[in-house]
Amino acid sequence: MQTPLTKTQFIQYYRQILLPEVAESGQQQLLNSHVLIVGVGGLGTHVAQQLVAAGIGHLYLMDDDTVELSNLPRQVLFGPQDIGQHKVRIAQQQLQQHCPDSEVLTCLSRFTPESATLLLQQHNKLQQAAMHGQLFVLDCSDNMLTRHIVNQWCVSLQLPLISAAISSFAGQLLLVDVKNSGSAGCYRCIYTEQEPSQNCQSMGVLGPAVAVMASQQALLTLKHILGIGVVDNHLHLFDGFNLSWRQIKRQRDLQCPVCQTSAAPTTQTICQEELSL
Amino acid sequence: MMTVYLNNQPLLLPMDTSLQALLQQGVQLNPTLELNNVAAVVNQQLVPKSTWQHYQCQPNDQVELFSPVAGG
Repeated sequence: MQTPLTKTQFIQYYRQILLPEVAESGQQQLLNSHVLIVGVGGLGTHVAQQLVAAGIGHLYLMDDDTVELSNLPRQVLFGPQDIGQHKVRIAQQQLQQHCPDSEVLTCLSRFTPESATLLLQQHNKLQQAAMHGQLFVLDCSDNMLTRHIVNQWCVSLQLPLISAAISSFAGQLLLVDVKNSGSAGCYRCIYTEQEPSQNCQSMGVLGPAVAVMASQQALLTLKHILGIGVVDNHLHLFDGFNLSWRQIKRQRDLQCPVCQTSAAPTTQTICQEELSL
Repeated sequence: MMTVYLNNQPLLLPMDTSLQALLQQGVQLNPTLELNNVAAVVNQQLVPKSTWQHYQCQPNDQVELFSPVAGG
């Protein structure tokens, strides 16, 4: 059962509630939602701001990195005074201060199946959300290995994954939801584990290009939580040089080592098995 | 022979050319691409790597190759 909105919440989220696709029930849904953000860098800081501002009730930030001077042009939650501090701690303080409706929790760790499972074990509400398909995972990490580990974990638990990436002027965005859109496949159906030769460190990136991708990732997340439209089964490609987007229809790789066997067990069974490790 | 477009460039190919064979030509034309680290799109649809060998190119197919992006 969903808690009714307070008068203050109704006024605060009025412009969202005005949308018939959201309405009051949708806002309540957002306030009850759980989102795990993997990586609190350029994408992660922007997307976290937008999601708590929209009223996502429970946000979990996972990262083991500290703030560096070179982060500041695109990681706008941080300032010069935060250099050397853990990103998740500063982000939590900033987000919580501006959006007291949201509960922002942190996990000072790189993403591994073990650290993610431990996070679930430490937070009963999060564990329940995962077991009932109400946990949404956002991949905002900066390397291919983590992206594949996050994908594998999400597929094994049948959790929706919204993955965004940016390097130079090229951005990529996709939603993996093997439970509701299995025919579109998963991240591994598109890419191998090999690290791309292009990354932000070697290619550079502009802050607004990162923000564009983060905004699209946040929008896709809200739409998916609210069930607006059909489940997205495209790979969205952003060309920041020419300011253009393209949509590529995805299809499952029938020989994918990650998602080819994911359809059989129920979410609850897998989740319980994972948690008993 | 048939014409197939690879990243908007027309290529004249034998009728029985597989996508795998076409892509091998593609990476030779563009040394920044690595065949084991690219995604292939035919007519706006992703074609999984495991099917490249079996996919027979059709006249006027629009084929694109692109590399993954992992930055965040």
